[in-house]
Amino acid sequence: MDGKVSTVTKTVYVSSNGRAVTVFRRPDFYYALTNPKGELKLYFPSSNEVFSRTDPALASGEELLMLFLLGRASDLGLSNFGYKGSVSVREEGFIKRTFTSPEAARPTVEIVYDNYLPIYCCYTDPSGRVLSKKYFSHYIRESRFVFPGRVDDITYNAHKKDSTVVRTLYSNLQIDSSAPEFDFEIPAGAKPVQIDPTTLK
Amino acid sequence: MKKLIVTIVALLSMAAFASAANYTVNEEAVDALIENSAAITSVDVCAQAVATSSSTAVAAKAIQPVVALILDFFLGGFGVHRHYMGTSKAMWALYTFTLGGIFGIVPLVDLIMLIIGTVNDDISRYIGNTSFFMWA
Repeated sequence: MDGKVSTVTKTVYVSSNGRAVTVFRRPDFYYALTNPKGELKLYFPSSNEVFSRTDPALASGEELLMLFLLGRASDLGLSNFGYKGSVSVREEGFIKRTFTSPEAARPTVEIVYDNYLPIYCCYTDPSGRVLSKKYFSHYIRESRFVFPGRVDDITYNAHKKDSTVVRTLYSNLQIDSSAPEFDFEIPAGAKPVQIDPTTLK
Repeated sequence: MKKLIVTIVALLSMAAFASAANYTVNEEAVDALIENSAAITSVDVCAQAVATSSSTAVAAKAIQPVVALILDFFLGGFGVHRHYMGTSKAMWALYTFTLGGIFGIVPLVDLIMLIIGTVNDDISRYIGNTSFFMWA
């Protein structure tokens, strides 16, 4: 079994008005701008192209950093997608809640908390098979909020008896920074990316 | 020999991900697995997937549901299965930007929908679908 690894490096700039600018640096350099309305723009400086999309799921409020900033990390944003949480139960010294969606096809989600901070999240399909597990650790504590410095995400592939592991490491968390990226705007001359699904038929 | 060592580390890592406390991950195992894996770029993978779907579109080939399922299993977090089935150019960036499709929820639901579609022998609604939520 040969493992493959891909590394993505990004910096997230979140403003108090909910505007988020994410600068992806590896493996490709591009900007992602979002706002609470779910208006997303992806700008690729190398080709001066911009891709636009509006979708509630893409709202800046769904970014992990924003969830913790706004104090909505208790359900990791699941309530925005119609999930309802069960009564909390205590297990092995932790608190556990189960979240279910009114749509039967969607996975069931279990979140485990330590001192009210999520440390574990498990997705299970309707048949009971574990689809993925996420672990939140190394919480960074600032004066106004806390944020996980490390997120490990393991997605299980039942057919190939293999898995995909995503390790996300957050660092250099700054509050009240004055970086110019907060005010980044896409150049006026950027070319909109055309979407033509007919070419794929 | 090196391959054998990497395989042993990977197997031990797979078995040791969940420590005795079920809700914490074995960080050393995860770090070792990543350190011992060959580096690729997500752009390379998506470029291959897009090139494949483009080259076969001229021949009007049928999208293979099983291939879409496998791509979703392995690389769902990068939206590769979406590019195989045909979607907008920047879909991979959307999936990556949302940390693998909103913490992995989107590719997981994609997977369930693809399984249902495969059983019913109809995934046509997902082919050429440019919506982030392909099932919506």
